[in-house]
Amino acid sequence: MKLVYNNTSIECAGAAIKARKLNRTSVFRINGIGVCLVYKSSRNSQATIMKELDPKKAYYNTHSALNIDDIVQAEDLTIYIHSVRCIIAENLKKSKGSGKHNAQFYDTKSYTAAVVCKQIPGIPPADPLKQLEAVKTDLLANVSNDNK
Amino acid sequence: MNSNKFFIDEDCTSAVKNFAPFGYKAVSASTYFLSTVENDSVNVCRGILTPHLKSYFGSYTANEAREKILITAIGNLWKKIDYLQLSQSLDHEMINEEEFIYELEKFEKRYVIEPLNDFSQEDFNIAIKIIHKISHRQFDEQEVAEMFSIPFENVSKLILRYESEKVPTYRLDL
Repeated sequence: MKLVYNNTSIECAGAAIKARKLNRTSVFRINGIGVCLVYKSSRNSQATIMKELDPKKAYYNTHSALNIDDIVQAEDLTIYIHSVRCIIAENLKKSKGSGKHNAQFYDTKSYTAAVVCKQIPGIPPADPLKQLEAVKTDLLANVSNDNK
Repeated sequence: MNSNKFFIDEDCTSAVKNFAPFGYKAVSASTYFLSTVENDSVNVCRGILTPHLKSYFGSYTANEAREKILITAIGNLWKKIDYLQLSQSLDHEMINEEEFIYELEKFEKRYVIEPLNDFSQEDFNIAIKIIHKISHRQFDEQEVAEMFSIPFENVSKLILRYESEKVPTYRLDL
């Protein structure tokens, strides 16, 4: 499955990331996972699932793609990697990405979530707009019950 | 450091619990208690709760909530700055990868943005109002989560609920 619209995401235990630019952003703790390093990839970015989660359970969004070979492709991606080992220039493989443009490649080996924050400009927005749906945790279930 | 606390309770539980040590035993729903903490002394005053005072206390509560969220945002901004400085020193080979990991693990409080698990919809609405006042830039949902320590899994839910509960604003043409 190929995901291209805003707010779509993949979650996996290992992913192949391709981007022309990969920037460090922050260190964020995710409940149930641990400390993750956050990156922002821009200019024709792509993340492919290489290893599925075990158990196959989404942490970020119930609509996240979880199957092997699922791809998320966008202009800008936010990537969460559960590893304190920072991506440095030496670890990045540089080769031809698309046409004449070079790209940077990186393979993750731990929990990875990639979320589209800016879709490719040529693609029209989803119609109807893609519905967001968060993972139903106990905390959220209580909130929604209170609301009723 | 001075801090103010006030209690308005229908069932008077928190007021009784908090003021019992100071000799106050009974309060009614139409009474207010205001305590000022100055250094080591606690000043308590009470009176009849008028609609005017009620609105004053309401705006005080709103200000306090906004201040709490802004302090979180400033703290997270500095965590980001400190992390980027650390990673910059890694890029410039001032430290090696092991030292980077050691620093990140030892001084976790300094670098890691911790999610606030009690982040409510009301807090999110305040956060969105703050975001709208920053005019020079647009933020995506992950940036908002990072800024205000919103748990990773709750961001979409909070945005959805904000969108569904959004009250249309009307402009008055005077």
